[in-house]
Amino acid sequence: MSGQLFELNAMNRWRWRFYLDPWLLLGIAALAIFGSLIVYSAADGDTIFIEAHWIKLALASLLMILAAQCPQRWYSNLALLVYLVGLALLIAVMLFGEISKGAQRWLDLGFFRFQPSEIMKLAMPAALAWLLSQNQLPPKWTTIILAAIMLAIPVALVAKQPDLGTAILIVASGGIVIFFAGLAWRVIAGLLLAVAVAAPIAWNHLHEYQQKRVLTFLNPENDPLGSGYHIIQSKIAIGSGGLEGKGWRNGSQTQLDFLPESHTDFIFSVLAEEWGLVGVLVLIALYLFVIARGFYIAWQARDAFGQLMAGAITMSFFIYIFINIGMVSGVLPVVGVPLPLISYGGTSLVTLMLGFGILMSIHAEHKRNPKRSM
Amino acid sequence: MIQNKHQNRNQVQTRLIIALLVVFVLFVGLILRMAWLQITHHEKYQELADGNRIRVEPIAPIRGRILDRGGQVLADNQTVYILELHRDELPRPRSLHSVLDKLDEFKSSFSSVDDRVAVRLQQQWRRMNRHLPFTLTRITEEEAARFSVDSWRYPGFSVNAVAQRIYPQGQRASHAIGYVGRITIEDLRTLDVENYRNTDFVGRSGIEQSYESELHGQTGLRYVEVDARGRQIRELDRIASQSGKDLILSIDLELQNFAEDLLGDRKGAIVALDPQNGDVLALASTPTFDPNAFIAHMDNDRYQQLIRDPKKPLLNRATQSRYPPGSTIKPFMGLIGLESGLITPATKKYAGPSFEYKGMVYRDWKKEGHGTVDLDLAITQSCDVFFYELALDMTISRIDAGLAPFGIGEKTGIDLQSESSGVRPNPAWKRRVQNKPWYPGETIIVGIGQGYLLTTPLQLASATATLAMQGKRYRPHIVHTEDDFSQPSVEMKTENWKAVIHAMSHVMTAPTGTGRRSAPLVRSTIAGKTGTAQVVAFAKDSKYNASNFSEEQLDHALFVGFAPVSEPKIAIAVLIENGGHGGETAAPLAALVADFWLRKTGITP
Repeated sequence: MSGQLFELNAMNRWRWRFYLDPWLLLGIAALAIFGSLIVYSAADGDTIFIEAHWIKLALASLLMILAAQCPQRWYSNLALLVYLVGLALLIAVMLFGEISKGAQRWLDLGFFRFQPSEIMKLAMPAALAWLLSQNQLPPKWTTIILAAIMLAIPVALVAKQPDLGTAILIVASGGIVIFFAGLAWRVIAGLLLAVAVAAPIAWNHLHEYQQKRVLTFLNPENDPLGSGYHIIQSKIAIGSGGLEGKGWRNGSQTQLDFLPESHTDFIFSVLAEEWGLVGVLVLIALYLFVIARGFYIAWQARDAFGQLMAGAITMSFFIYIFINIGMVSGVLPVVGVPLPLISYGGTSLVTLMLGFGILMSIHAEHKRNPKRSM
Repeated sequence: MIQNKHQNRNQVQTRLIIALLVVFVLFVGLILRMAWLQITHHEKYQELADGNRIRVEPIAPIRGRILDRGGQVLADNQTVYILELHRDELPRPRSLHSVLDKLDEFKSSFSSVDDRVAVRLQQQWRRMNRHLPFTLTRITEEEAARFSVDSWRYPGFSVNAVAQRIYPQGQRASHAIGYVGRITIEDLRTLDVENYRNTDFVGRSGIEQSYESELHGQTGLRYVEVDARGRQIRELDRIASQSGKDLILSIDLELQNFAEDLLGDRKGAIVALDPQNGDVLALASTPTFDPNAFIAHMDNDRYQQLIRDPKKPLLNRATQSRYPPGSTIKPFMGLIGLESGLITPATKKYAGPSFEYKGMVYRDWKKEGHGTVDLDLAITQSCDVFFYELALDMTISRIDAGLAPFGIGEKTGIDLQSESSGVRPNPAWKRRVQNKPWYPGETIIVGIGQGYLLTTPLQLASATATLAMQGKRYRPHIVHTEDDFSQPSVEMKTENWKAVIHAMSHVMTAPTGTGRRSAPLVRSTIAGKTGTAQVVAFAKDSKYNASNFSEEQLDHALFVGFAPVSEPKIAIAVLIENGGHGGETAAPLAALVADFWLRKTGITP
């Protein structure tokens, strides 16, 4: 294929050795460096933050490299098992989970605490990709119903914690797999209709703080000092940035602490304030580059599992980006999703890099078994 | 099979193209949204951002003072000088390392700058608000003056004068007053974060803790105009803070000091109540501690010493420690017996050297026995055998029901937190705690205030006050207010109250009364009951001999009493850990405290 044109002999050997994808690596590295600059500004030049950020990045990268070394069949073989373990842990959280900030998300294993819902972000698409690739595509009705059930149970558990943001991300990661597998268009249309009908009913089942978030999203000016404050301040930061921005470390919204959560969920607003629309376009271009490479890997993948999984990882990455930017610019409600590869630290970084590792592993199948290449 | 695979591939590839298109469209949508905010409406948001130059800063309120009933100050605020860090005025790079380097420099000029300050700064660095000053440490007035001279050399650091808690009486009444401690992250879960935005200390024990909301006051706000760098230009508006309320205690400092001095370096407690209204006149617990040690946070060694001290000076022995009441429970047993009709004041029982029940021998403290005694004599001489028999006749459930209205084995509801409830045993309690049945033999020893029965000195004082008032009950309280602290009265026949009160005055006046040696210390009338609570059980045949026991095994000495007998003005409970005989060690202290108070208030000349 045309990709090989760029590859020098030495690079090829190196790539063969570590099964890493140089184009993905390049995109990720560029985003990480860009992100560090923004975090540095948001943290008012405190190098401790940057140190911690890089340590987390380094650890997550190590995980990515390890994940790329594992052959793709390991992922398809283990998918169901990891899914079931994740499900069991979610049930464990419901029964013995630790409550923090009013939500029961954490499982304390004594030596460390973690959110089992995070496992599901990868286990869900993997398990569904495995299920759907067992038979010919498009899948039969029975398979789709089974997949829908596998999707619904963990999502219900996560939503009950309550963690609506993660529940949406898990729904999306699994739904994409079913979509890629070839869910009939009329079913998709029917589902959209059903969602429209069910929305008012679901509204009544939301927690009060979740309802408040949606209401605030619809009209942030109603509650300018309360929960609307975040969105208003974020929009001021973005809007006042203009075309060229106020300059790195010169954003008044960021530096005077008017912007909340400036180094985590609202890091995009820092970028937009200090780097302006130009910076935003650069960021989106970098993201598009990584996503395009992800689609290319999915397109090239050897088998259905590889295609479905690669497509789901890439689309999940996009969905994180879209939800975060949509949230800080007031297009979507605030759901606490970090901006991938830019926001400071967090568990989500680990999941994200693990996803890229799997993506590389899928692509490396061409190198592992070159003879069977098509 | 291969054909299937190809079909699969094509199927997925079509969908991939559709998805990529969706990604494109949505990205374009986001870019349009950005252009809408950053180009079309840029000017509007630029104006809003310029308007965002007003910062709201909290003003800490002044904490209310604590005064004794005579107006002497027990807890006050003094001006102290603190070294502050202003992060947004630091020269760049504003990193933690550069601040830590500066702190190293300060070590030579400020005695209180040390590694602990650096550690605390490191812990707080990420959490603190960059635009609000951060307290590094307290410095002396002289150091503050010296710093002001060349403060220009240290941008980002300044000296500020703030109000800090001080306890002018030092160790006096420290268990009642309590102390304040630095606010921790755990505290912020329960405190009103808005109102504590600029408060560093919160009440940790005693009145400081239980009246925190009244003492703290209301935080004020200043609206400050700042420049783009966050530096203050001018103050625009100010909502003044509201100082906390001054609290006046019912405790009399002089009486408190007198009681503490009487206890000296022994472990013990003296509680004095006004039976007419429930005022706590003195709440002494020894050894005491200096609450100022908790304020000067640099003084960690003193704090560690307090915590590790085997004498437990932080423990409030008057309200938190549980002791067997010993013979001080006998007047109450007598009252319950009279009220039940099982005995009358005229009922006589033969009290030999011991009481036998089901093969067990329950000995009297007096080796030769008391002979034939009625209730009056049984209380006067503290006859054990009389009460062994009475308790057995009454049964544990009647004792339980009879002690309950006096508040024995229950929290008194005093305005201090972490009060102990003690134990008022009954079969249900034993089943719950030990999962064992109740044995009648256990009822017998409860009759003389031993066994499972456990009380706090405060409970005993409160019950004694109720007895002195012939059933009128008040909730003990340390903070003096106009509230009525009445509680439901204990209903008993007047002649029964009188009989027991007579017996309690005979304890002090009769030639055989166990408290007779203390009566001359009071220039008024006093009624009371001695008690000697056994700490360890000793063998049936051996006689209690103080020299055979180590200090921790010695009996606790107790006394409860009130004065004057006809119109009680003070009710007292005294407990001395390992003090031996109540009549010898505890009773004189109570008598002296009563005399002091009656003379001070002019009831006796």
